[in-house]
Amino acid sequence: MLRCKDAAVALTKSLDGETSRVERWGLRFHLLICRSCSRVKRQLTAMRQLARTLDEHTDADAEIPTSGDGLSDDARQRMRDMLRQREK
Amino acid sequence: MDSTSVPPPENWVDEYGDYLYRYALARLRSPGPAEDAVQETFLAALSAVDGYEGRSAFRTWLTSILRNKIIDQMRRNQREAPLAVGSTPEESLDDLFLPNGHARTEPGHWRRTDPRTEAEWGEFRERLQRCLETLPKRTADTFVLREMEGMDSKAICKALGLSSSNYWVVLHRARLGLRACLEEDVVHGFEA
Repeated sequence: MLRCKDAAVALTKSLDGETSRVERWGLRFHLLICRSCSRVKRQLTAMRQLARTLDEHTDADAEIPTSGDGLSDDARQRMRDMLRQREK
Repeated sequence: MDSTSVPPPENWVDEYGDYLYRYALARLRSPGPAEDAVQETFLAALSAVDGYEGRSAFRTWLTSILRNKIIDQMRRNQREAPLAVGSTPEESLDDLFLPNGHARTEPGHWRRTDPRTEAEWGEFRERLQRCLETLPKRTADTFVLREMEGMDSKAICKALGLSSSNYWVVLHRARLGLRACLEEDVVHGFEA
């Protein structure tokens, strides 16, 4: 029987669908008897779902992938100048 | 080529700068590297713009260049803080488990409530960023490339110079670390 530590790598692989059959079955049996790892699996699944959905929540007006500050005025000016230089 | 499909370069910064910067900042977690990635993107785009065929939107094209520049920045993370050869804490799960194989910490119960409003999503975004910052850079980079960029394991190993076995350990450390950090910080709680 796998201990939690042995099941850990299989657990993370299973989130990405990259377990071997042996790993899959070992993990399945472990999760049947281990409430702690089952809970971790549920939480990791929820967490990744949220991380992936994050990009969908854009500022509708500006159509940007994340909220928060944009480029600083300095950086903006620096880049404009640089592009102008290079275009010559 | 239809010249109206490519905006003039003098407008690029104003039209696309903020978008590209926020995209980069979410992944690199640091303003300096994010700015560098955006600047390098504009430079590369200037050289390559003749090759833009209009098959995707111009912003999409710029973003695909940016994604490579983001990986370049991540590679620089590693050169600045190279891991020692052999097993280091980041390459093993040992410190997270007791000798009998059980986890050192028990997961708590997460109360239900996924973010529902834009404000709640904003809070979650900030929380995730803060938690990413608590991880070693390469660990956080691995998570970002997997979960935000959707790259597969082979591509990430190649990008970050990880062996296959190291990759899974590092990715799992990232996931467990974020899980623990989010749990501590949880105000609303997420269903699990």
